[in-house]
Amino acid sequence: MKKCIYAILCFFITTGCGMKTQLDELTLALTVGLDEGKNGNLLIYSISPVFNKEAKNIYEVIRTVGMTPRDGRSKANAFASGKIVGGKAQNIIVSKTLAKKHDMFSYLDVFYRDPKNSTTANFIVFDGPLKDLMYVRLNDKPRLSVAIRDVILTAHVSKQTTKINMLDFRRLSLDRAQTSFAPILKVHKGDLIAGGIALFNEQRKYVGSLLQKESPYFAILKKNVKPATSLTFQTKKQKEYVSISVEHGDFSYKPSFRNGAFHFDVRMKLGVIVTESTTYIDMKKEKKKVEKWLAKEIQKQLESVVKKIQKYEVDPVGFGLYARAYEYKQFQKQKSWPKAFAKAKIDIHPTVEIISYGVLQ
Amino acid sequence: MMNGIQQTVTHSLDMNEQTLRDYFTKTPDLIYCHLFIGEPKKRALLIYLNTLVDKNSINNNIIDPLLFETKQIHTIADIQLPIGSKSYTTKWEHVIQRVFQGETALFLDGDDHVLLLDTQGWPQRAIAEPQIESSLKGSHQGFIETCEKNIALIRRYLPHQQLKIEETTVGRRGHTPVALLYLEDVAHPEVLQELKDRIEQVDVDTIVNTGELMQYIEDNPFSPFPQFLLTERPDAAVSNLLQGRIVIVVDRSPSVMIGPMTFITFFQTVDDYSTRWMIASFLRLLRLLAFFMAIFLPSAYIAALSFHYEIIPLNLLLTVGESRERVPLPPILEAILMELALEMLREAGLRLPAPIGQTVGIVGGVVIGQAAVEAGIVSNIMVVIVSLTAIASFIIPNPDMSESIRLLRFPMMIAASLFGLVGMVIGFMLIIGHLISLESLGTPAGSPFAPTRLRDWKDTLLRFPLWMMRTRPLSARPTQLTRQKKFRK
Repeated sequence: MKKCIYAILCFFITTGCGMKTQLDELTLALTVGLDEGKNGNLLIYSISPVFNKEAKNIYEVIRTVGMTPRDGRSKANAFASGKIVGGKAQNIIVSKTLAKKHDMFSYLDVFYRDPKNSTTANFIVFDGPLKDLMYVRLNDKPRLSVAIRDVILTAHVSKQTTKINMLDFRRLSLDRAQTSFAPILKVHKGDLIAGGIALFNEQRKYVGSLLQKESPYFAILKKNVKPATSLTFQTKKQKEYVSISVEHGDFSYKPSFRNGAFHFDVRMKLGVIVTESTTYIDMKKEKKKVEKWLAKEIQKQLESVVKKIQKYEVDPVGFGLYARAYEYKQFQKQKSWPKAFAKAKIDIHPTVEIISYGVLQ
Repeated sequence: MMNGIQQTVTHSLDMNEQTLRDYFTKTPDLIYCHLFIGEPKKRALLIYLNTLVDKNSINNNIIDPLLFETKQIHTIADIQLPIGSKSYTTKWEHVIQRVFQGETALFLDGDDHVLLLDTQGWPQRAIAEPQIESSLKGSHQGFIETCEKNIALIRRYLPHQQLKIEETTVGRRGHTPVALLYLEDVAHPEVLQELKDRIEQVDVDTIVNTGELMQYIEDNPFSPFPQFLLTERPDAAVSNLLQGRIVIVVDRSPSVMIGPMTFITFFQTVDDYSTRWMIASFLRLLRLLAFFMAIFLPSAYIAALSFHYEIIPLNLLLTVGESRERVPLPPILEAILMELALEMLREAGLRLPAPIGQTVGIVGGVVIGQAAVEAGIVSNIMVVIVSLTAIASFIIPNPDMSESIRLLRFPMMIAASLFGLVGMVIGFMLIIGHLISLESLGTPAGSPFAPTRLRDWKDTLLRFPLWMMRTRPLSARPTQLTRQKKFRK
């Protein structure tokens, strides 16, 4: 019993007050934004929630100029109402201009190195100067940080863009067999719009982007069709459209190495539902014909996406993973996989099966 | 006894009466009734404590036959009375002890034997529904304050010759009768001997309540957990008897004590066995969840808010932040304030008479629930957590265990405020370590978890169908394991 009392007393002496992070005394940086400033400096924005009912805004935006993100945070602490912490960060946003010029890792280092920072925050590229986003007033939306997160998530689910967290961004960037990508966010007339995919090269610099309408095909190439990837095609007649929703797919990527170049034979079987048709098609009779036509349209789009990424010499889809798995010797010989991928020949053969065409009859 | 006066009863009635009058001074309720009985008349003296006897029995069964006795009475053995339980003694010690227990003593002139007649009849309450451990399907008879009645209630369930009863008394002044009930072919003799030895060593004035005796004989007085089960339900006592446990009935106390117990038995109720197994299993899991919630919920709140804000999902974090915005206290003070308020409310509600008791509920509900939040002293979330802890702790069916759990959450809260989750884990490990090493009457209280006895898990977290529980649990070391034969496929 005596020992027990001594032990408990010891606990009281060794209290960990220094480590305490009382929620009330913190400023939670839910969104961190990095933009290019003047003279090679960095503009660092952080958005944190404000809980005081007397305050006008429910969140505050802190803007500082610094050499690095951590330098900016130290400066921001001078006028934040509490200690700034990034453990609950939801979004890390960089502007397109900054991403074009610099290796992203040199700026993102602190988010990985300091274990107290959240590594599951979304990594986002913003198209335009960041101040447009930071000082946007969304009257009918929740806190800006939550709104940004939700917009990205919704757009990702409907395949209008993609989403990537900090950890995956680093993993893809460091993987020899693929390159990383990020969703693009825009502000248009006071509204947040997520659409399109930013592509990063091996040096983690922004090189180009996929458009919003190309995003679903990027998702298909990444075998990510669930839940329901929606596509719309124009028929040969003017102003006649058919919409389908891809429900599931069987994919096979067969890499080979022939005549000094990689060759990929991509086959996919897509099960689709016809969700809309502005023209009358007798599905009973013309099912096979429609399936063929759809496959051809999809093939066209997929090929254009692949061409685009080959042009930028990036591999966000991860063709390199198949090359490394099946053609390891040849893969190892390549100095740079994206360069080799740019020269690769890629055949895409989608087949479409209409599993349902609605409940009209 | 009797400080220098003679030890045994004499032949002279006058001398005996004088001895009695010397001993029982200032005892106005002691009645001396002089009688002349038989043909020829012989002097006799009847004494009894007016307050402890059944007067009808004395008038009809003793005085009436004695007055109309026509035989010649030589010795006290010649007296025939219509009372079943009677005994003879020559020792003053016995006479006085029995008279104090409500018996009537008959002295006859010229005889040194005293006839002791069972005429007990003291104020007692009727058998009523158990107040603390109410049940939906169990019997509606609860124990009362009389040992014999309580034993009767148990015997009704087990009319079997193996149900043995051993009686003893505890206390120098109170002579509290204590009865040990057990199934001789099931209960382990070592455990029984251990219990008897411990009761024998108790040397006190008196035992007013079973809870007192429990504290004198329990294994680890420094444990927060109860090691004996106190129950006011005969059916619970019987089901424990059948598991090889020993029931200790203390006279003048409405609850009986059962030992040896295990930790998990405090989470079982009689209703568990009379409802279908799926429902009973669900309730068992619910109680276990409540156990963890009652201990850890406030401390988890404190730990998360003082150390690990990262583990709270963002949307909840924003809600918590908004709700704590005006609160001037750190989480630990906020939590302790509210938990103490809850304990006070509970205690106040318990002690107050029922008509005023409702006031406490209103005051508590309004003041603590609403006004404190509106005044900005505590946060909404804290009120929710306190209410959840309260409900969780009330789900635990055994009041002793429920109180232990409520007490344990305070050290857990302090640990969480000092070390966060690490403190909680340390606290949890201390509790688990303590439970594993805890014993009840020398048997492991952590059974069947530690030591692990998988066969007995059928009646722990889940309650398996009754027909699958064919053996008695090993925790009480029963000498005979078969509970039922396999009769159902």
